[in-house]
Amino acid sequence: MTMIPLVSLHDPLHLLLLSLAISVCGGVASLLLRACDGAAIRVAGLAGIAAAVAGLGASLPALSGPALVFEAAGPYPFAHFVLRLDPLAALLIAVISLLSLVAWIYSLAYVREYAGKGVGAMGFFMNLFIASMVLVVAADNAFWFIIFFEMMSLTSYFLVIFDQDEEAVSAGFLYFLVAHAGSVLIMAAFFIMANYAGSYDFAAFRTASVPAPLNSVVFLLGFLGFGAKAGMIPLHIWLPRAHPAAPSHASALMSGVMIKIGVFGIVKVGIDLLGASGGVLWWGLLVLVFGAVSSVLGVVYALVEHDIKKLLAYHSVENIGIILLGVGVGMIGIGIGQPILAVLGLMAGLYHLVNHAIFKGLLFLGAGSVIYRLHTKDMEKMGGLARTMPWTAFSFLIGALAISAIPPLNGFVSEWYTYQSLFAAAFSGSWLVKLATPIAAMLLALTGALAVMCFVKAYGVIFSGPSRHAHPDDVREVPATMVIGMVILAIACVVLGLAAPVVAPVISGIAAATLGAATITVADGVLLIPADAHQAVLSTPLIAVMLIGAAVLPLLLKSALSGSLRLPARQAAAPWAAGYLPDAHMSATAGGFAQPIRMFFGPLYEVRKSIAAVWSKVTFGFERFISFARRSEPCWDRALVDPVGEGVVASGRRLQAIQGGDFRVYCLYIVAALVILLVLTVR
Amino acid sequence: MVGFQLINGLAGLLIITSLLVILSDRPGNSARFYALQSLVLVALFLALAEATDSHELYLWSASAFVTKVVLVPLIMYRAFSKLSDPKLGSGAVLSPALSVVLAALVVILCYSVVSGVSLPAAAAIKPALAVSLAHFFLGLACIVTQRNILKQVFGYCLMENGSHLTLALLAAKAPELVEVGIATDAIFAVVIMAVLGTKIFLTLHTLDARQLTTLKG
Repeated sequence: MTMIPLVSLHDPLHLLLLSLAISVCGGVASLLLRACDGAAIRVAGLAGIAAAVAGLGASLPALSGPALVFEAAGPYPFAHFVLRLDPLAALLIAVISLLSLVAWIYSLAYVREYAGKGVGAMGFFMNLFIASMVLVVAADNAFWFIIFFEMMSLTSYFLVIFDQDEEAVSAGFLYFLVAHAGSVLIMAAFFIMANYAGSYDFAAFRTASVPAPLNSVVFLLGFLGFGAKAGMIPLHIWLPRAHPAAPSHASALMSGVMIKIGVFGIVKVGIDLLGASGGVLWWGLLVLVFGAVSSVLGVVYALVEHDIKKLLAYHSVENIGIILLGVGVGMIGIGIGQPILAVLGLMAGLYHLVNHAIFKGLLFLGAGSVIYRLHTKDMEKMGGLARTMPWTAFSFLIGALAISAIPPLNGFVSEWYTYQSLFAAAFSGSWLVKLATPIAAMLLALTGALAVMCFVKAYGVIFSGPSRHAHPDDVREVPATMVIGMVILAIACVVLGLAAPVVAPVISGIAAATLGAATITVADGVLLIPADAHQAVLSTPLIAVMLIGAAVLPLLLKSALSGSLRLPARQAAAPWAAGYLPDAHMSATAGGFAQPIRMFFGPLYEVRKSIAAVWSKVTFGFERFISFARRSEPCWDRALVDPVGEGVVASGRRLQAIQGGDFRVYCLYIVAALVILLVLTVR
Repeated sequence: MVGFQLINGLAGLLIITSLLVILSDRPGNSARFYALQSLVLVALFLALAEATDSHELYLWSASAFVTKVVLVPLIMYRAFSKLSDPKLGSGAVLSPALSVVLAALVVILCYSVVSGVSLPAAAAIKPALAVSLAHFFLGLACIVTQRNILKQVFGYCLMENGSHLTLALLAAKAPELVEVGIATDAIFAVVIMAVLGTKIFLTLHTLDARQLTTLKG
């Protein structure tokens, strides 16, 4: 007789459920241990790490498909609990798991900063947040999808308001508003689809055919709803406020992973669920336009930020834009009936999605480390930290290089694929596509240049130059677990860049599986190929060899010529300051660095002001609605409860007067009682 | 029948004397009027003894004379003449005219009550019975309408006189022992109340009953 094991570690679905169970148990345990901060941090962190490892174990084998489905009866007939581990979901789960693994390792030391402020609750919300993200990605039923999507929004809302200061609460409110407005749109989209599918199961959605004008309505609802979650412009307004407000490891997850679920949702609705009735060209163009605008404006706004976390948050807007460029090309490919272009574009988007998750997580953790030691988010008060925090500085540098798309790191690879997909699209399709894609490529180039400038500024102002911090001697490297977390992601940045010839085919396989198209050739040996080797060829390993060679060869030449590897001694002297004694005020500041950009792109900042004005009006209107509700809400109380309460109190007071303590009055009662008795007797 | 008319007439006099006790502005005067009232009560007992041919009542009237006409007024006079609260004044809550009206109302009420009672022993002395009941109520009214705590003691004494009269009217042949008990009871009560009144005055320097609501421990 063979025993059927309850949990089979070889079955990705079992591992996935195990990971979710660990997350939930860890969260609850952390909440129960909230009285003991150290234990809560450790329990939440270790459970999170275990869940993340299980999540990685579940998702990595499933990357290459086929889709695995787990079904269970739901509480209602329409709510089948269905989890579907298809390659796209597996990719997202892998990213979530990797990022959460690192964030949990990082949290073991980092969260001590919050000791006494309810770290038990933080562990609870973080664990549930991660579990709900995994569930959103895997859910294959509209009802459960909405439930988990709301759960994700709620748990992250609590992480945003964790500091409970005015800024955090107001940022949290805005986030709450936008997230829920978005989920209402998504719900509406699902309802329309369910109407035609006759079921809330995504499996039915996929085969349902939604007639012509309505399919676009569904797409638009989904696009705007998920776009709000993704933080694309102009629905980004919550992002630069909410992400900085959350604790840094939560910011890393929100910026690194959660907004990707917005992109995932756009792909899910636009490509997967509307597969049977999709393929409209202007959808792709719409996504492309939003992507291009978000990428340029995101980086332009990031450039003038002095708050390091806000700067990173604006870069998330920019990178979401870049991802949407890829997704847009993918959808254009469907629209014009070119599966190869579709796979290439979607693959570029997905690759950048993975990469952005990794380097943005890394950068947020780096920022968290700096804030952990300096207790300020203002870059003008940093400076010179590379000397005191070398590991943090090095990791941040890798992240900065990656996000600036410097070869051979991962950001470069995915942006290269994005360019190639745009170029490929520019040679095909209607005149609209031929017009739009080169402009998008141009804007992407502008974005890339500005991103480099922005991170030269960020790294330079934070880590080099003289220290502008009040107590520069107190600053030292962060604890080991935080360093380990950052270094893991830094290594991932390098690996995803150098190993692109291995990674790209996997991701293009996922894109092809999502599109239901044939796979394309994206790598050959150490070469990266955008489907067509005549268009372009790239090899990150070779670039790496070249770069290393460029640094090492001169040394080797020198040793060959002079017989010694020793370099002349470095001169350690103050920088030249036009004959003046250099001091900290002379170094470039974040504000000064960005000033030309501020002048050059002046009108774009005006755009931001007007967007902000619209949003502040929305918020204001909502607040007025709330205050109205607050005023009208106690009506019942005033009409029913208050009179009763006041009556009881007043009659109590009157009864108290009866018991005034004056014995004469008591005698009066006796008289009154006797008189009454006598009168009754007389009758 | 003359005897019973005398009884009823004396009972009416009791109401007047008790009003005098209530309305006099100084405790000393009240004590004198109380002695007068007790004298009327003793006379009433004698008349009742004569009318009902009750030997026990002679003894009653003798002991009542000793206790109510002599001892109690003396004790109160001695005790209260030293105490005076100038701020309090007479301490009356009702004006004298209203007090008289109240007394009249009380008597009318009591009369209507007693008229409903049908006791063979009390047929001839119903007015006196009504007065005895009213007297009890006047004592209570004194306690309620006077703020001076010394007046409350008098109020108690009036109540006591009222109940004493009721007892005599309804049970003229009760054993002497009952009367002795009542009389000593009254004396002790008055002694204790006089001591308490003095103590209160020495502690609070006031005789105002309203100030006593804060007495604790």
